[in-house]
Amino acid sequence: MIAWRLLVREFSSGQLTLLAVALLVSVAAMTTTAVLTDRIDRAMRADAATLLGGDLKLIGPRPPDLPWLKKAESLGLEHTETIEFPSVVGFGGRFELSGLKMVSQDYPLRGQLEISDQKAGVGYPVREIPAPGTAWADPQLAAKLDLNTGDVISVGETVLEITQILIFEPDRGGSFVSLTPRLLMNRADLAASELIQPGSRVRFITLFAGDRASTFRDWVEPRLDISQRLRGVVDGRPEVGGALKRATTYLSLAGLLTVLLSGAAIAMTATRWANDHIGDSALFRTLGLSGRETTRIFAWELAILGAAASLFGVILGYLIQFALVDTIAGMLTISLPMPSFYPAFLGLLTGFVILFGFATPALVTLSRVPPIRVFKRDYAVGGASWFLRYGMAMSSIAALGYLYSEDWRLTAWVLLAVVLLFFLVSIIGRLVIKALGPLEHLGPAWRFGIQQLIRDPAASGGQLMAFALTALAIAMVSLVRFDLITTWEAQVPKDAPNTFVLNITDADGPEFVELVKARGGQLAPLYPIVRGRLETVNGIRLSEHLKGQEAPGSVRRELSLTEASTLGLDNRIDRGRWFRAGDAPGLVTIESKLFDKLNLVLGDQLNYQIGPDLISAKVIGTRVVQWDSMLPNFFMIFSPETLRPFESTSLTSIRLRDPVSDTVAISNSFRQVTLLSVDAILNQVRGILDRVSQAVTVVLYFVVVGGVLVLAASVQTSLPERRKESAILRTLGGSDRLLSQSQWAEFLTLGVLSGLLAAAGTELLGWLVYTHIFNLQWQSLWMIWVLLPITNGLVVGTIGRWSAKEARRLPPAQLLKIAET
Amino acid sequence: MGPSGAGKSTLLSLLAGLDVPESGEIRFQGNAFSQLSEDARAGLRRGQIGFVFQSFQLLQGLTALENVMLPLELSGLPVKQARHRGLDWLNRVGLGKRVSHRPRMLSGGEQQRTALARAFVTDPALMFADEPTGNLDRRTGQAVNDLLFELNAETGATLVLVTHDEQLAARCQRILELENGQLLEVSA
Repeated sequence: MIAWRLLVREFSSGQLTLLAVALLVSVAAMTTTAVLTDRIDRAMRADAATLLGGDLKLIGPRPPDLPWLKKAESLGLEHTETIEFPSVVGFGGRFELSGLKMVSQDYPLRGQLEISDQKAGVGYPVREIPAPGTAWADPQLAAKLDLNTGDVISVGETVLEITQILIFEPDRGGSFVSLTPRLLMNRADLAASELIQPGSRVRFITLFAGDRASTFRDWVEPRLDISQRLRGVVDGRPEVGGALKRATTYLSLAGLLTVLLSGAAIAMTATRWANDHIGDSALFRTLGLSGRETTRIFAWELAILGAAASLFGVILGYLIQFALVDTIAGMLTISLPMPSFYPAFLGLLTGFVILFGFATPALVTLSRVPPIRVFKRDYAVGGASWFLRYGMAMSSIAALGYLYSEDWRLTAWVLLAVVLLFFLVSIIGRLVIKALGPLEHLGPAWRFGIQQLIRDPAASGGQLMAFALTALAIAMVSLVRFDLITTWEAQVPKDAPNTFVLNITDADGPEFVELVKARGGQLAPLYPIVRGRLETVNGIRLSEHLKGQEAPGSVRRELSLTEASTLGLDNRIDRGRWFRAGDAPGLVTIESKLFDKLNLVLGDQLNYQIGPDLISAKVIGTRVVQWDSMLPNFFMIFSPETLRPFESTSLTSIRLRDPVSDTVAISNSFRQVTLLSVDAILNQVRGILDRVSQAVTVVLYFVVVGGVLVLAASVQTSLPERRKESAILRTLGGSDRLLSQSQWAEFLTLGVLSGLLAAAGTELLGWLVYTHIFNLQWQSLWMIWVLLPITNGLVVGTIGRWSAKEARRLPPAQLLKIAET
Repeated sequence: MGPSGAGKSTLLSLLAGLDVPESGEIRFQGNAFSQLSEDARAGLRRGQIGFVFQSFQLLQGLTALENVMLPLELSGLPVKQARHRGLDWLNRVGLGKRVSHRPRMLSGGEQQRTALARAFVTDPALMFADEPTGNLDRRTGQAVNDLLFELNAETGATLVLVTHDEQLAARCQRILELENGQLLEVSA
């Protein structure tokens, strides 16, 4: 086949090297990013799954149907069932309402239980559950009943021996749902306890784990009834779920930007390839081939090249990521699973899509070369239409962008930013290049360098776009990483409360505060809690007010109502206002999302049923609440004195210096106060966020390396012209210094200019991505307007000079020979 | 003169200091090329040696005028004066109306005439021409040759010319033939 023979010949002559290398580097870069992000993503999810005890959690009032379990097994998922319900535990004549949790073998599927051999002891992880006839009590229960290992407790109709103190259960969570003291026991003891009676509030929890958990989720979700809930890591544990979601989006963004960088490199090298082949195409036409036959030869040549370069690119990509993981192994505390084959498939597909997406216009150009071009080199060749040129490139980037990010919105925003950047470069970039004239007065080196840019606006525009894209990509991934990590650090600050406190009576309040402070602890405000139900809106029953819509779960049952004079640090008023000094009782602020779900407007009058009484309150503001802050938070907060007539106990969160011993001491002084240490959970969340941060940082480094490679590749595309120009200048007596300085001037200018354009692009994409994708607040940074031009100028200048070094070093006669072959 | 592959162009490159010989020595104005750095050799060429190549070797990004101005700018002449002299030389080679055209918009003959203007603009003492009409049709080639010899006579430069063309060679004062690595005097 002629295309194959041509390819081999061209390859050995070096004509194809540039395009092949660009494709190889692109596919390798994208495969590396894809494999790395795939592995990091799976590792993060597995890590976070320890917070759930599995990859999926099915919660319901009865065990799941047998066919569901069969389906899970057929998908290769493990499963285990736990049963939770509140009941009374007795010891030494005292009784305590506790959360009983009965577990079976294999629990937990992800993460580990931690136990201690004695009260206030140090925990260690175990891979076992309490044996039948025994139970593990948490420190809270142990403190309340003054239990120690070896004691025998009564649970329903049975007795169990406490063999361990339960320090940590991975899936307990840090919310108020799980605040009661915990007793962990074996499922086998359920029947003997005779605790489950008709009407018991029992929760059957089935944990699932395995690679195909999401397939199972898709299958089972439509089959759930209203009483059943299915939770994954993201929705099941909001304190890390949000971070995980953002980190995954970050990985997608990084993948998308790598696609863009590769596209830029291929577009540049493919145009060069087409220019190199105009003469060949004319020759084929002279030899009697039709335009279509000529195109077919070149298309085959590209296809074979695409296949070979993609294959080697994929292999190289896998090798690089192995090397990368080896290098960073010491830095990562997360263990990565083995890579899957999906990125390999993606890499191969990428090679073809990107090659044809960006090289088709070049093929069209080649098909239009008239035979007369053999004789008249100056005969103009009609290129591809504007639509074909940019339409193909954008569609292939959109397709690949989606494949890499699986996020249409993110892909659309990034594409929009690229289109705008493109117009910015085309219009402003070229205008500015033309206006660079005055720089020529800086001396002959500057004159040559700047003239180089001014004389070929199309070529300088292309390089400007490539450099600006690279800078934009690196700036974006750096900024998002910085802001994500800052957000995560703020989410669980070093001094975050580590203990929740419930049931503080008014009488105990002052002494309790005193004791906590005496032990060096810090307290959040005390919130009085009254249970009540929302009944009417402006006198209309809630169900009628919602016009048949189902009320949100939080108002279908009794709510924890509270009052406060100061707004919590993790709350922000987004509509209306917070209470002022002098406000009368009877005002309420509502959590913003609930306010919308309830179709409320400011000024609405709400009525609540509290025991036998009714109270009324006017809505004056809504609050955006950071639910993952580990501080007490409420849907409804009333103005001070509103709840005064009702009997209440208070809750708060505190930070204890030594959670284990302080909890025991405080519990002993205030027996009715419930203390729940969330220190272990906090540490667990902090650890996961740390690891997610590391993962995000590693990907950032990789994008930077990829960006620099693309930068070098795009400089390389102009090398043949540079060689020739250097040779001619040297022949005419130009010194090495002059050549070097003029290249420095040219690339420095290109770098600074592209840095400025990238800063504009970053402002735009940053705003789009922050507000629409990451739900972060975008703040315009003057730093990027200074740092991007400076660093980009230095980096592009250095790479440009370094790449063009050969063009200065070789004797002119040799350079001319190279240029003419 | 000499058959293809005899090493004529290599010899020309060596004579001009565009490359250095593996053995032996070439001196220009008392300086041995092989003992000089690339920069020093470039310095010697600047303004003193002119070139005309078979494939013109014009910078594609520059206009005809800018190509002609280039050697003057490299020797440090202010842009205004360089432009003035460049225009003058383009007029002399008959391209006064094509000054702003880039090489790819000029015919082969016009490109070579631009190259001639570039070679002579610095008023060099020594001029090298490597098959100057090898890429042109006979009639255009003839016209370019005429111009080359005319300008050479006007400036009084020493012209070293490599060619296959016996008629062209016959117009030179001295003919040497390169064969099997040996340089033979054909006529003087």
